[in-house]
Amino acid sequence: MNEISISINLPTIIFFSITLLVIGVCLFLIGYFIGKQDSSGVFTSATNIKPTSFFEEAKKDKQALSIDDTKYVVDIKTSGMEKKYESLGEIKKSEENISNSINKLKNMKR
Amino acid sequence: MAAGLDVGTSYIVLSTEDKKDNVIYKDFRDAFYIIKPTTPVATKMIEKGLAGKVFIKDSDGSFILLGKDAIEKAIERNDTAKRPMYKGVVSAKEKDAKKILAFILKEVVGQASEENEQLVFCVPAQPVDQEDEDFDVGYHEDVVKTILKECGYNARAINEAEALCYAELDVEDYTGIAVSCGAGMTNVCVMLNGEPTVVFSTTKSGDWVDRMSAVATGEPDSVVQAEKEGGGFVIGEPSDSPVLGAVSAYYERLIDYTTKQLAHALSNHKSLPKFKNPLTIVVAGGTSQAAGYIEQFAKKLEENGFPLSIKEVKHAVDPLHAVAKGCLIAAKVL
Repeated sequence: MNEISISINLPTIIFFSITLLVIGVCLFLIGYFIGKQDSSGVFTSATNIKPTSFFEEAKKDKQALSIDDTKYVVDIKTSGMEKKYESLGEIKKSEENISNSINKLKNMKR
Repeated sequence: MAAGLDVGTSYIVLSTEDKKDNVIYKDFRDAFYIIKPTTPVATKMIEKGLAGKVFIKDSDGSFILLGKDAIEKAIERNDTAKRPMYKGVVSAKEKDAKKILAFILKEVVGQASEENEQLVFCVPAQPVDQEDEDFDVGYHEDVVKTILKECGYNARAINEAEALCYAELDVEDYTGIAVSCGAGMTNVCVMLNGEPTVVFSTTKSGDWVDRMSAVATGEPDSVVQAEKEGGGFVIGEPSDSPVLGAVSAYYERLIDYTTKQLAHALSNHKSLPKFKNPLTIVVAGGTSQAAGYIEQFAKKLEENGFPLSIKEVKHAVDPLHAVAKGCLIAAKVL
């Protein structure tokens, strides 16, 4: 029978040990870096992101070039529907006055 | 002129102002029920039977009942009415949803009184209890904008709970928390001096109570919803009616779930400011109208470790119209 002999000498052992150590250190550094990025908010969920106020968005829209969202939604045809009633919906009149709230908010948003 | 519009899963509410600065609300129940006649004789009979009800005749010959009449007809036939919206956005489950929502919206808002009249409508926030891929508000926003643009409006979307803050937190200098408990979702906004700092939603609300109670009692969702809206129960108290007993029990679970989500979402939140004073929490929406809701909500917030100091938990003055009022205020400020 032929015998296959593998000779493992000391330099080979040292070489493999160093290689394994370097791979381990690299993996640790990659993990550490990803963890650091996550805690600084790069990978946080949408709910953790500070929202933009409605009025800020409106200001931005006035300044920036706007995309017409309605171009993406087509074919909502209601012309084939024939109305068979006189009025739709219930009307309620409220005596509350919202002008104070509007003025207060306008002053805050200046 | 300006208008506010609450495009809700259960109700569509338009808010405008008259010449004396009174706020006028127009409500419409967001539901439909389709009847397809099989013969010409049946067509005539059905049309005669629907006299006096709110319905439309579609080009394929079917009858589409709308609003409360749709729910009543569905109950009469031991069936469930359909909704053009599901969990705060245009329903992907119903193939006719977009067309019917367009029809209802056009009828409720009407043509703009002037070209490019400002209209602000509400949209839900991203939920914290659902994967991002399963929920997107963008398409819904575009659909509603397209419909309103056809009516001559310059329409803009606002977060539902942010609108509620503008409606109810003026005495608190627009600082506090608003919780809008709709049919499809619960929306939350934490506001500091008129700036939203945290917004999110959860996907369980009034419809979930109806669904779970329907499963527990073997009744259709429409029947459970009608009994629930009839009142006659207090959350946390037993009821003689099996349906209302189940509704009461699931309401308790819903409040527990919502307050736990609220406490969890705000604990160690990166965008949450350090508030100097205890906060007012304002609650609105159709689901919050059940007797005992506010008391249970306040109790569960405390039990579930809500991380902020609370001044009071209060109900909106007009819970069904508060979001539409906030949308109108936002439209007027623009």
